[in-house]
Amino acid sequence: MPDDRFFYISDISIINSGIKTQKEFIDMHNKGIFQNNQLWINNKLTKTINELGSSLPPRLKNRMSLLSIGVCDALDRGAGKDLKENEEIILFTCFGEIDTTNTIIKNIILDNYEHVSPTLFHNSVHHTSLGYFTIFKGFNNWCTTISDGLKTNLSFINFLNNNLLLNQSFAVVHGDEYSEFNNLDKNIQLELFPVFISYRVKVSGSSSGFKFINCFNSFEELSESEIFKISDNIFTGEAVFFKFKKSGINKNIFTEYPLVLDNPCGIIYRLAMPFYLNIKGISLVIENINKKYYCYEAKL
Amino acid sequence: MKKVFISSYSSVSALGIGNNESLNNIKTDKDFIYYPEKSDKFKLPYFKTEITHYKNVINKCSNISLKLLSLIEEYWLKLAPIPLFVSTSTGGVRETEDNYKNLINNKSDYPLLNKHYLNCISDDIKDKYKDKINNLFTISTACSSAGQALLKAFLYLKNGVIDKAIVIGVDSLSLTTMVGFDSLKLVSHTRSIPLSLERDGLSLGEGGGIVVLETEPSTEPVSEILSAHSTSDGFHISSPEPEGKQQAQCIMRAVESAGLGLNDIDYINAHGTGTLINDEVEMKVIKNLFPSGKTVTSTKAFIGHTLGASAIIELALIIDMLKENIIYQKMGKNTPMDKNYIPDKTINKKVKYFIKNSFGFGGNNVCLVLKKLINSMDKKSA
Repeated sequence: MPDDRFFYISDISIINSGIKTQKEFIDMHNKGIFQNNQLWINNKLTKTINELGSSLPPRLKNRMSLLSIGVCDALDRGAGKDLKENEEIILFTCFGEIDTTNTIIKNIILDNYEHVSPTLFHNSVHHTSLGYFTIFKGFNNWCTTISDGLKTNLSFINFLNNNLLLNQSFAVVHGDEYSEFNNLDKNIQLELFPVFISYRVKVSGSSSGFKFINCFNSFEELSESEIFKISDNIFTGEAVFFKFKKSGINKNIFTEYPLVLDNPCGIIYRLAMPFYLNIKGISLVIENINKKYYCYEAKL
Repeated sequence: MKKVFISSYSSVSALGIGNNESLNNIKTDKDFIYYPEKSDKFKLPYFKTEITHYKNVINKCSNISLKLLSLIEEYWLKLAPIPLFVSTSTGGVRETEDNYKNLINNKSDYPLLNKHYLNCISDDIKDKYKDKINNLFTISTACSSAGQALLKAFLYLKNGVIDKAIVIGVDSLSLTTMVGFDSLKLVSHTRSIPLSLERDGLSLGEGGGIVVLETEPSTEPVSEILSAHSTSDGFHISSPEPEGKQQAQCIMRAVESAGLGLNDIDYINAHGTGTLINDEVEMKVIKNLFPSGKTVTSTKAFIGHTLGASAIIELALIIDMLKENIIYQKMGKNTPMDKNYIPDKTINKKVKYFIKNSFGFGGNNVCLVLKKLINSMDKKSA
């Protein structure tokens, strides 16, 4: 588990169908969207994102999926800007290039194609997005893709808590696209729309930043913890957001839910929010998985 | 910094289940490639792996992984709870294909989201082994996935973040990958002969490999991972950069990090897919780095290209070969690309330091430098 050092999140870029810039993100915050679920009804997300990847060369962009374009754009606006050659880039994606894969499976299984588009096939691997980013920028950095479907949130926490101990800066990027494929599962119905984020994680060198605090085994244990008592702000997912709202606690409660809806990787956005919004004081960033509460302190 | 040892390992591939069967089958020189029948949808030869399914476990990748864990269970259970790194490029694609028509026609309650995506493997492992395993995450960088998982686990152990880990690389064949690679015109119409002048493409394969890594093993380890490095070509999604500059950089950095000189390397286990371009670039890089010659082979001649699983399956197989001081070769009557590097038949060779290359789509390069520690087969070899 991480030690007492703080880590800093910088060079953040968040993109969905509603926002692309920090100013737009702050506007959402100022309107109270992250704190007031009554305002979510007017915050409609769409399956595509207009004017995404405008800095990409057309010859590349024409071949790329929405996922790849979004990942490249988020990196280009965020953590990829001043990337050092020894910094690792890690892509988290729940579903990878699922729309491309879905087209290939459909071509083979339903349409009985003996061959598929070569471009579609080489675009179908999970690592495609980072491959395109390195081509786009001419970068030679170490790049890794981590993907665990609906459980990619826990993978992010496992990665982060271990990787922080290496004491090296690295770039995180998350991306997922919309695909009808995910609607084929009749057992799980989720609202999933394209959403992207990138940021750099580095050792803070001061007493501000974020660090992992603990994994609490119940809501009660969390509520009685010292870090909960001293926190000014709570950042959490949708379900716990409503739980806290209902409890009437006297703290600022935020959720990234209107940004990502049911995408399981909300924690990647949530952890960056205090830094992107420059929320002063002590913030408790919570991820609830299987009745466990993984908690980070973000102090600014 | 800690030392990182391989204390147990195994593989499942077309060669067989476990180390002994696999090595024995290598020695027989029998060809395990499958030539499809007229009724098969995919017509080109490939290496398939037969495996018994566990009860209620749908995915072939999960079944292979559970078999791998069971093969060395006696060893790793003593270390439990133990962190697990999974690497794969296919996950549950094969099973999605089987269920796709019914899903589209609304006639299926197949749990697609839980069985298609890559977590299907670690979920099934967790279901069986529960608190014995701490799943960390699944790495998927196409054909270099297992190489990347080894690199990540190595760094965590070397830096004292964890002191032990299981790393699994696994992939199963699916029409998506078979038709896809054929569409890229990368599949051999006869059989893959990597690193030969006559090579005309890769032959696909499936299977899995497993290694237990430890910083302080309680038993005599078989190998030490001295270093690992990764670079990106930044050139093309499915073709290596023709000069192999970043492949070369990757190998050089890995050797430097190992505290070795290039001359110290005794053997290179190439990525060696058997495609015209991969083998040409990889051999160009090797010949530039090692102008006075090195022994280079590709294990894919025996098992095909097992995609995201390849680095660990091949590592498991070469550990066994090197323990016997033999580098098995399957060149047939074909001609090595360069006889100063690539043997045309099985050779006896004592190896101390060796390299494992692993490359993937997106220009993703991984190089591992290892030290062989023991010579004879022993009970850790399952």
